[in-house]
Amino acid sequence: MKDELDVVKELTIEEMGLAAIASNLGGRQRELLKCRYPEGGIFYLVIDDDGGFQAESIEELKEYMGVE
Amino acid sequence: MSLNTALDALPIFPCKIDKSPLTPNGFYNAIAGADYSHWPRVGVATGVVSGIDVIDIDPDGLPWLEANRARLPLTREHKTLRGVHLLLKHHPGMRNSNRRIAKGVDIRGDGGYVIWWPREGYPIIDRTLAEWPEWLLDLATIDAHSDLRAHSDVDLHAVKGRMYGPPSHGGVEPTGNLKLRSTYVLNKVERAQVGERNRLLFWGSCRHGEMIGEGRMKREVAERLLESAAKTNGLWRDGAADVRATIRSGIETGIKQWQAMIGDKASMQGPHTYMRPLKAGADFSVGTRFRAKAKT
Repeated sequence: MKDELDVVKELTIEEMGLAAIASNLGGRQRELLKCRYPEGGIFYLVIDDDGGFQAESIEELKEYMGVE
Repeated sequence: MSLNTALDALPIFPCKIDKSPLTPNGFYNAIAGADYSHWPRVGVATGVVSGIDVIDIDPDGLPWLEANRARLPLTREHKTLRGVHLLLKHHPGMRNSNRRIAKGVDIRGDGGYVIWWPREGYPIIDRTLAEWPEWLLDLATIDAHSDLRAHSDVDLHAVKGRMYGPPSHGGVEPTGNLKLRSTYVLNKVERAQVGERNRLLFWGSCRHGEMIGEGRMKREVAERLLESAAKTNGLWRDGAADVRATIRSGIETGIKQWQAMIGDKASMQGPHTYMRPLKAGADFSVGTRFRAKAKT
């Protein structure tokens, strides 16, 4: 089993839009990563200078980001 | 609580220098008591799993911190790369958000993590974790307000004032941020309780009528949004025809209010005004306002 994140490079248009928003969310430089669990399934990470947050679905991601 | 004791007791996981988790499951691989001596960075899961919420303040948020220092409880603080982490006891249900409290002030709760900067030698103020103060809890958890803050730099009170405040120009003012205003109004309609749903649906329809009158929103879009809000609050099930009638009546009232306001302004300011009066039933496509402004 890999001990690192399995980052998915292919993003949907919606995810690309969210990645663009995340890049300056709240005035901070952040990065959105779409990742795959080893057992299957997708999750999202938004990472900034001091940590980040992890969302289990795109809906949860939007909630954390404060976008519709 | 000493630094080592604190970190040893917390659910931690390795992070890279770029702060991304060095684990396959993100913070789900966090465990207490792990040997972190060789990790590039130490991540600490926040929220219910650690019992810690973190107010993450970056340089943009430092003025807020200074302005509110006296109101904030004495609690543990970590200096970070660019700002400060205030650590508080986890409040049930506290989740992540950005800018709910103020610009440059994030919350890390359930679903979040922070880099543990003390491990990198950054200074701390070692105090017992405090509870969230009530005033801050309100700011951090009120959905409608926080969503508005997250969407825009527009001051919430100014937005509320626009809708509820003292009437000016006949009680109707131009919409600033269309999405912001519409979302706020629709939230109110969606959350209406039995006994107030019709009144708030009519109120919301009036407000959208004003936006239509301004030329900022198409009528069919407003109708769809309002019908959806009525489905959410349950009013639709009680009678779709009545809902449509209320929406139609409210929208027409709102358009008339906007036209009356424009008429008043025109008579006060002469022919070169903000926008000429609109005719009822016209096609109010988005952009009308801007074309009208270009003429002045």
